[in-house]
Amino acid sequence: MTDDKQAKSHTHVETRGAHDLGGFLNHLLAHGIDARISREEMPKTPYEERADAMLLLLSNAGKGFLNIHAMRRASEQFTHEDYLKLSYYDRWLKAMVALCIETGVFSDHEWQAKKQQVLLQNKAAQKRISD
Amino acid sequence: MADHQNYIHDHTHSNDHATHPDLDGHTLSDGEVWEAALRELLLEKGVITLPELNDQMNRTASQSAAVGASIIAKAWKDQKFKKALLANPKATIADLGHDISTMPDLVIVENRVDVHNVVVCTLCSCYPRYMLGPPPEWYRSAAYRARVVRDPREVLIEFGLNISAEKTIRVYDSTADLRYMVMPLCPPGAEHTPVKHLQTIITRDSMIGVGLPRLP
Repeated sequence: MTDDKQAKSHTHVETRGAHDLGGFLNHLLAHGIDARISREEMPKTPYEERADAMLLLLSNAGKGFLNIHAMRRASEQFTHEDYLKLSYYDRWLKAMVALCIETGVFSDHEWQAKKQQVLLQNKAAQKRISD
Repeated sequence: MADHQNYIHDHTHSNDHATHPDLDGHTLSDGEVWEAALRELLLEKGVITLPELNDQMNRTASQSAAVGASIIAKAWKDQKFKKALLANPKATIADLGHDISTMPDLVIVENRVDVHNVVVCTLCSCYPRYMLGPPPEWYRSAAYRARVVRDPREVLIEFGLNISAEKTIRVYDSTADLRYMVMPLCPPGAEHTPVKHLQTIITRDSMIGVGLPRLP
């Protein structure tokens, strides 16, 4: 635990990329991230399974629209806050979307419109249930 | 898995039903919105198709640590195979009939009586899925990535693994192009156990290095 205490006492300077976590406990603590390792086995939720499948399909082992290096570059450009607070699959989803827009798979306008459509559909479905 | 395949299948034939059966009735999280929107755009654009998405989910569901365990069990039994496996993992595994040509490179690090190995990916979450199945949640967590390189002995204790002070602990940091897995020590008394049985004691965690094979 000596190392942990030393880490906590270090002045927090964000000179490293948000992804560069090795040994950087103070970075976690400064962002209020739980430093305990939860050993709970967490099965993927349905949307995470689909996100995982889309990533593999788009990757170089699949269709080659993106590769792991591009995905990492995209997620490493997130703010420290986003990188640490987003869940694992949300981070990948955000990176996939950024890369799809960047490479012209779809436009930012199309993305915003589709997101809005999904939100409205969700609201309508909730209303149907409560009615 | 069948549930999800049915769900995707149903969805194609119920466009009048605006949202997804498994998502109705609750407010979608940001991630759920992003996933649904991304999937619908990719399908509309013809970048991916539903059968492809189903196939991929099916392939992922069939990956598990059982593959890695069977290979380690074989290595414990067969010194010649073990030597080849450690010297040239991918080619040796491919020789067994596994199609891993498109997979990242693999290095298998062998535990010794005086050295315990443990694997992490500090920069990301790189993991030999084709040997161990999908990575556990904790492997991808910021806490594990940040801490295990700084204080592996402490972290391993949290996993219930007390490595004696005389043993060296080596932490291997995976990259996108090079994945590590651990060959645990064969527990004493297991030398004469059949391979089929050995496979069941070589757990995923023991091949990451946060556990040990348990004899029943």
